[in-house]
This record gives sequence, structure tokens and C-alpha cells, in this order.
Amino acid sequence: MIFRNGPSRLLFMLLILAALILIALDLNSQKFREGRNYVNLIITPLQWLVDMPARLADNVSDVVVSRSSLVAENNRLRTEALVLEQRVLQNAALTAENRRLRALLNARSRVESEVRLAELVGVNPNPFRHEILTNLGSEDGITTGQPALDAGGVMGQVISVAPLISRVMLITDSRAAVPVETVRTGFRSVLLGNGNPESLELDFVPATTDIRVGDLLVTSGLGGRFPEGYPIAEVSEVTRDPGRPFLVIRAVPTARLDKSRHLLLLDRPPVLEAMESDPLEGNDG
Amino acid sequence: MAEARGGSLIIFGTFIISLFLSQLPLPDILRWARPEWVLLFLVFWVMRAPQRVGLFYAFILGMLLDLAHGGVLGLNALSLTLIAFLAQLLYRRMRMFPLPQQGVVIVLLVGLNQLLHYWMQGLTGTHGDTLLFLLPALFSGLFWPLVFVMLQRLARTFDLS
Repeated sequence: MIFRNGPSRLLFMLLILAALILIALDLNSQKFREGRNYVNLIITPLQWLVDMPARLADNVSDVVVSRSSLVAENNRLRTEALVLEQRVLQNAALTAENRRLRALLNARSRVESEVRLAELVGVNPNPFRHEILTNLGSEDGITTGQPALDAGGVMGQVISVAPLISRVMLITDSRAAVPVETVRTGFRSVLLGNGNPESLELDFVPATTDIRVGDLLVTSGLGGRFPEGYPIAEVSEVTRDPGRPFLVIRAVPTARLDKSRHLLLLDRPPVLEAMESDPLEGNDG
Repeated sequence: MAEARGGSLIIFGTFIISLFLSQLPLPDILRWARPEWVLLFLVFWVMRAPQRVGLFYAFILGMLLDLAHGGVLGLNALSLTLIAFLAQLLYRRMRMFPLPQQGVVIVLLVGLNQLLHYWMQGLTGTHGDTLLFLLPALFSGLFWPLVFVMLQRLARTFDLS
């Protein structure tokens, strides 16, 4: 062996060079990133394995749950279903009215989106990134860019799809931005994640804007990524600093980002899908 | 020969375990408190079995870690190769150190790893504004004696070197 008395410098240089090339390709080439999603299959068993204890615990608690608590839960769900049904009835009437009014205004009617129920199978352990893994992948027809919701509101969007698993970037990730408007005044802005799991920011809001603590922010549908009208966050703090040109506004996500085990993936209407492709490239998503 | 292959299998097994540990979900408070398991295991094996575990091993492990984390592909490959290289330069000295002192070296190595990740984070357009990212280095140093003792026992049992 030539390199008996020390590490191989040549091999070191070659490997470092290879790593740098990979990094450059990964940052710049869309094709490379798509190919890489297939290589992800190697690692999928590991991700299932990591999720196993939680799933096992779920199964066990499903089996050993007592009859009385099942009955109680059943009753609760039945009343909830009744309340929701009543709301749906109202909704149907409102939808019909809305469609008529839009027809009068010659506006394009709103497309209803289909949803798929996905289950959480993993969380990205890297604290720099707020991402979760779901059990649906390209085999199930999931594509990048699909919005993810839970019962409370928008959670994030699919950023990469492997055959059996997909990765959802949460709205609190520091790369995430969502076009929103306030329900009360219709003021439009962009909601930014800042890497803090409990708070979001509204940037560049002029000091004269009418915005208060407690205002509900919903997606505005601009930018074509998220459909219009889903709740996303509630304003929790408004600081007016005379020394600064803009307000400092913080908001709390309405979705339970760190607790939901089930999430809904919205199918995107074809109109929106045609507009752009990569969630990490566009400035709007 | 058969024995040598069995040994490689065991080493590979410990790396799978370290990948598993690095993927386990932790509560939010503890998310910066995760030691860099893969790196700890890698440094141990470079120290213990430098003829078997080297740069190439580090590169492949880094790629697997990148795939699992879903970050920039090649980043962990780069940092782990670099760390393995440093460990190869240092291992003769490190074997002589008492455990706490080895822990200090580990803190430095993991700190370097974290720094590389932080820079890359800045390069891809996002950056944290705290020094929290250095915490894993501290925890790795604290966990080093545990990792060392356990892997050492394993290596002695199977007579790996």
C-alpha cells in the first residue's frame, strides 16, 4: 500500500470534488432533483422503520381502548357530524347563491378542489428545516406543489415526491411564503415563515395599514399556488415603531403543525398547475 | 477472509443504527440537542479500524444522510469526508487521549461540521439568526464517552480492528 503511513490525499481531493459537484448540481438542476427523488427509494425503508414505534403504539391503543370510551367518542362524533351537516346545508345554499352572483358579474366560477387524506410518517430531524413526510407518493398521484391542510388551516405544500413518500414543507420553514389577505379588511400581503415553529411574519406592511391583533389571515389565491380562502394564521402581535417605515407583524398558524397526524393534500386545479412547476424556484409559493 | 467480511457487516450494522438514531423524531425543545450520531460512529470506527473505514465510507454515509434529511445532496458527503480525513490525521494521537479529552476533540470536529452546514444554509438563501446550531457539537461531546464505551465493547467482542 502506498498510503500506509497516512490518509490518501488524492482520494480525499477526489471525494471532496465529487461532493462539490453534487451540491452544485442539486442547487442548479431541476432534472437532477427529480432523478434524486427515485434514489430516495433506498432510504424509504429507514423512514418507515423510524415511524414504526409510533404506529405500533397507535395500534395498541386502538386495540386496548375500553368500550365506554368508544361509546363516548362515538356520541361525540355523532353530534359533531350533525353540527357539520347543518353547516354543509347552509353552505350548499350559499354556494349556489355565490355561483349565481358570479355568473351575473361574468366572473369565472370557483373550482372545487378534491382532497386526499394522507398520514404523517416522519418529521425532518434537521432543525434548520420544517418538513414532514407523508405516506402518499408519486405512485398515488401526488405532485410537487400540492397544498397540505389540516382541520385548522393551511399546513404547507409538497416540495418533493418519491414513489412511496412525499415531503411537505411547513409554512413556518424559513423558505416558505404564502400570499394572504385579512378577512376583515381584505388587505393583501405575503406571509413568511422565519424558522420559528410558533410564529410567522408579515413583511413590508405600511404603518398606516388597518390591521389588528386577532385578524384572521386567509390565503388570497394570488400566485396560483394555494387556492383562495383557506385560513392560515391569526395576527398575534402588531408593533408600530415610529422609527421604522413598516409595521412588525407576527402571526400564529391556525393549523396544528406539530400535532396533526392526518393531513389533507389538495388536488390542484389544472389551470393552476400550468402556471409554474417548482415550489422552491418561484417567488410566489 | 470470511471473518473479515463478517466484521465489515457488523460495522455496517452500527452505521444503520446511527442513521436510525439520526432520524428519530424529537420534541421541539430537544431538536437542537441531538448529537450527530453518524459522525460519532464514523470517528470511532476510523479510530478503531482505520484500514476498513475511511474516506469512501464517509462519503457514502454522507450521501445516505443527505437523502434521509432531504437537504442539499452532497452536503453531508462533503462534511463527513472532511471529518473522516481529519480523524485519519488525528487517530494515533486521539487513541492516547483520555475520554474527556477525546470528547473535546469531538466537540471541535462536530462544531466544524455544523459550521459547514450553517454556511450552506446561508448559500441556499436561508439562515438562522442564532448560535443554537453549535449546540449539537456540545451534546455530541457529552455523548462521546457513552458511544465510545459501547462500540469498544462491541469491537472487542467481535475482535474488530
